Amino acid sequence: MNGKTVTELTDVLYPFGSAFSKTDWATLACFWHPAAESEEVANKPFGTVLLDIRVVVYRSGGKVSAALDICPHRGAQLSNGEMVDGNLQCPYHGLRYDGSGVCTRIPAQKPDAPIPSHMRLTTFDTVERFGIIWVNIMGAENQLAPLPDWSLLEENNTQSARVPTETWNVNAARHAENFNDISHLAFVHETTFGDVPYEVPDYSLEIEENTMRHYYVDGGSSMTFDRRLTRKGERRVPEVYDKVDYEYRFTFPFASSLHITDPDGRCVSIYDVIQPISVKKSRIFKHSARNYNQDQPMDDLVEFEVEVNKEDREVIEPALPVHVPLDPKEEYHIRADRWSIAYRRKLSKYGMGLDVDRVVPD
Amino acid sequence: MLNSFSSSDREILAQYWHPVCWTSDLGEKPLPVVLLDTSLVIYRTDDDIVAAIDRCPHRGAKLSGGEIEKGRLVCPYHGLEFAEGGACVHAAGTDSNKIPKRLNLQTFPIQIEHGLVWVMLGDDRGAPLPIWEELYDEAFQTFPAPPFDCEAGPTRFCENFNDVVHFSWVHSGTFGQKNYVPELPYEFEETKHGLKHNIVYRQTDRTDFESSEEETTNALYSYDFTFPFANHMCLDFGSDRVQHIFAVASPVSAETCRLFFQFGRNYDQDKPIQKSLEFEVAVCAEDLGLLKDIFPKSSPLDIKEEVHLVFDKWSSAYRRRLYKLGLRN
Repeated sequence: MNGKTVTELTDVLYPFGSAFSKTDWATLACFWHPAAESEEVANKPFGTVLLDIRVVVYRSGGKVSAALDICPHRGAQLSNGEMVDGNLQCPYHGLRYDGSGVCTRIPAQKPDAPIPSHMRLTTFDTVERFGIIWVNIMGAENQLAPLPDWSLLEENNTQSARVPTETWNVNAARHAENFNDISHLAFVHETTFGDVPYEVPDYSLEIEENTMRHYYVDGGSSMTFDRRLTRKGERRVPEVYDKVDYEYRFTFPFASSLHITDPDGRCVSIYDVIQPISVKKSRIFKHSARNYNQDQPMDDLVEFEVEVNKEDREVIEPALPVHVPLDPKEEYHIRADRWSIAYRRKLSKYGMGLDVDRVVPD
Repeated sequence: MLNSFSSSDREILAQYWHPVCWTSDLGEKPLPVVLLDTSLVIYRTDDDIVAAIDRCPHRGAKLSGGEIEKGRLVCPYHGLEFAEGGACVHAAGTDSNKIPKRLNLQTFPIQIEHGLVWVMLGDDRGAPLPIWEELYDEAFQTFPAPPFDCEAGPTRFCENFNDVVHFSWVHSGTFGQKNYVPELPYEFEETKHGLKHNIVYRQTDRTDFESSEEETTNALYSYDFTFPFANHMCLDFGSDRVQHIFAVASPVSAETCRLFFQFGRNYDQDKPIQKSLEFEVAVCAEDLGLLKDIFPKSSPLDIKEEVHLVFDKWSSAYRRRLYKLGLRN
């Protein structure tokens, strides 16, 4: 971006008072993160926070743009402004910016007066895919990993729906570990998943450059697939299948998906990616998908997922320390934790955890 | 309390008088205020007003949580009593002539002016209070607004008060003409203790607060600013209709301030002030709504840090002068 190195950009952008260490921040800023749902950015600019910096997302000239949400003139918050003729208009003095962040109009100047060249927004690279607007603060050329490959979501025989996006007081890596953790299912999700054996199957784990995959075959509960048959509040003895495939695919740093397939080939998938707002705050983007019952509404599946979320949230929001300790000696591990051990090791390899300060909860 | 100012900025700002409350706020109860990150208690004795550190020197209790009894401030913890000048005049079980001097409160000089209590926390550098003669002109009816708390630093507030272009965007709901830009550049002058500028603005006619946005009137806005945070604006609507706005920002911290507004008008004096006050409160709410999201919360005084346009003559001069005083933020 603007021909600057990651170090130079970090010096300019690393936010004062951030609970991320400077190296953790710079590392995370090299990944693509979700910043908005596609539908959230329409005729109005959308303001959000990514890695403790204010970001405005807006549509201009058929493409989506993202920039530091601060007017370079007098510091006003641009996302409180509006879109005028495809330009982002500042709410303070009406300055306008096009999709590349260039100031196109200063109303207080005569139309032919020159616009100072440094009157431009600090813009960020964006990609719109899977119903999400992704932002890379350090720019595509500095990316540490590509977007997750969620192309299954876009296939014709897949029906998908967004699970309402939620903001949790949780660290993004904690959430990612929880999503990919198997041993908590029997305890945290008994109400939603039905009977899950305590013992964790010996799952296979593959580690690639920017992705991880783990899978196993196990018995499963019909509650996952036949959600429609269980009326709300009704305690039903679920049918149990002997062989259900569980496949988890993960893309660094925070994008997960789980694909559960029953013996008849019916597959339910959950896609989950986390926007790290700050060390202790995350926005969770989720999709639910399936390859059967395509004529049926997805409401029940979404509702199911909302309930699963609630169960996770109650456990992981109060977890301490707030951040995931990357030093393997800091927490205890069991064999079932092979995924999270690998995850932490890999985060270290990306350059994280070199100067971790303990984050104290509020 | 956290320090939001650098120690050198605080030291410089402490050499100016700052208002902390209306004199009319002082009654039966001690009043807690914060000035330059410092918690103060303001209280009235029989014939004195005292500003002191809001901590009992005995065991650290917050004195503003206490009471005023017989013209003395009584600590809520052990009942120590403080009189004129912050002197401790009663401590349980101690002869009144044997009370240690260290139990006297740390007090600060005060001044009463323009209906406000002003406090000097540091060494007075002799900067004058604003001269607001119009407040005392009998042709004007004056009234205060309730204090506002601004979620931006005092420098940002003053720059906003003296800014002549934002009306057309921020105040289009009250008096600003959408997208209209007044004739620039404006007349501008630097004085020993302040800045002056004026401009003609074609504003929405608010004579009876009911006219539509299409009805406009040309008003001459003359500004007279006194360093560091005292603003005065005169609005001349023609036909001998003149309004004054006095607004001083009390620097609570580098990122927040308390605003004391007073208004004067030489017209409509037979009408109740309520409508006028409601209008001014709405205007101020528009400004505060914008300022709460400004970044950084205090104006960057390094002139290179933000971009300056032709209409920013006022704010760039303001920043240069503050920089010259030694402020860096």
